[in-house]
Amino acid sequence: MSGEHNEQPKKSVFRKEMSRRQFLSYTLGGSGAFMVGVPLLYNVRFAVDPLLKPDADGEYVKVVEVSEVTQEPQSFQFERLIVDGWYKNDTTFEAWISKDESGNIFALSPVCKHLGCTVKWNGSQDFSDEYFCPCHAARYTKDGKNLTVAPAPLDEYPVKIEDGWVYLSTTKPNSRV
Amino acid sequence: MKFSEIESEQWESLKPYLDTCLLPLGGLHGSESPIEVITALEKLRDVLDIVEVPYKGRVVTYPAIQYQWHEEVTFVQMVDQICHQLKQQFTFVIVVTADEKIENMQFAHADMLVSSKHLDNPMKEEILQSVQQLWTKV
Repeated sequence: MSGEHNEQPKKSVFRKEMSRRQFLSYTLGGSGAFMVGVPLLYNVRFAVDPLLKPDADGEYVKVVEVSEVTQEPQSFQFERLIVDGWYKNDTTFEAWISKDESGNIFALSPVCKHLGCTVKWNGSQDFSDEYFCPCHAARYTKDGKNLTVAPAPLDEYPVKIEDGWVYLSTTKPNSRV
Repeated sequence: MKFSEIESEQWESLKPYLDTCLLPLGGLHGSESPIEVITALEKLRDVLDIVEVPYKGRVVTYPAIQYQWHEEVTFVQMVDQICHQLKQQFTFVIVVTADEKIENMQFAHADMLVSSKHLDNPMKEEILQSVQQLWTKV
């Protein structure tokens, strides 16, 4: 019994050899992929470069000295570098800056939320102490709350006070009303 | 706003609000060098900005008539004819130009002419007030 030994049939050794055709396909394919892939990688990186740059929109821009800001809203203009893809341009912006009852400085965008005209503080003789849009008579309170026509309050600039100067960032939805 | 910014499905709802057409007149003759063309177009853009930026929600800027190839009388008649046609769509038509010759022309069917004279204050403020007064005529 013990002498019985079930011999496994010998497996024939199979050498998986690469054919000449396969060898050429792999080497030429690999070289080709490398030659196409590397320039492609660099070109894609070049094309999307503006997207990879840090966003400059949120940066604060120096606008006016704190001492010039009053309870009465005043219009101030400032320039910001706008980067749109590869296109860079200094664009002029306007802000209505004033102090609230607690003396806190805040700044509003003059762009009407109806159709984009430019509002003015006391822009109508009929409505004092309000922002008025000359296009379709939209009106807003000092805090930018929409009273008529416009569907939303005036946008607000985030404000930073530093070394006696008012700095403004890019507009955000009004948080005061 | 520019005519090209208006989506086709938006036009009917915006139409009651956008009642003023801006018609830019380039005043080019074809004899200008590329540099002169650039200067002329940049100046025209600046004049256009006087009205287009603050009143974006009420004005529509139409394609410009860039060349003035006719005799003056014919050119005035042609622009007048276009203004007349534009009034089928808009209540008001304002002609905008940075060309000194066109500034002195009279267009009977245009409600107002804005030119490079209005680039700086106090003329700029005056023309903006005039536009607002024009709208009170509705």
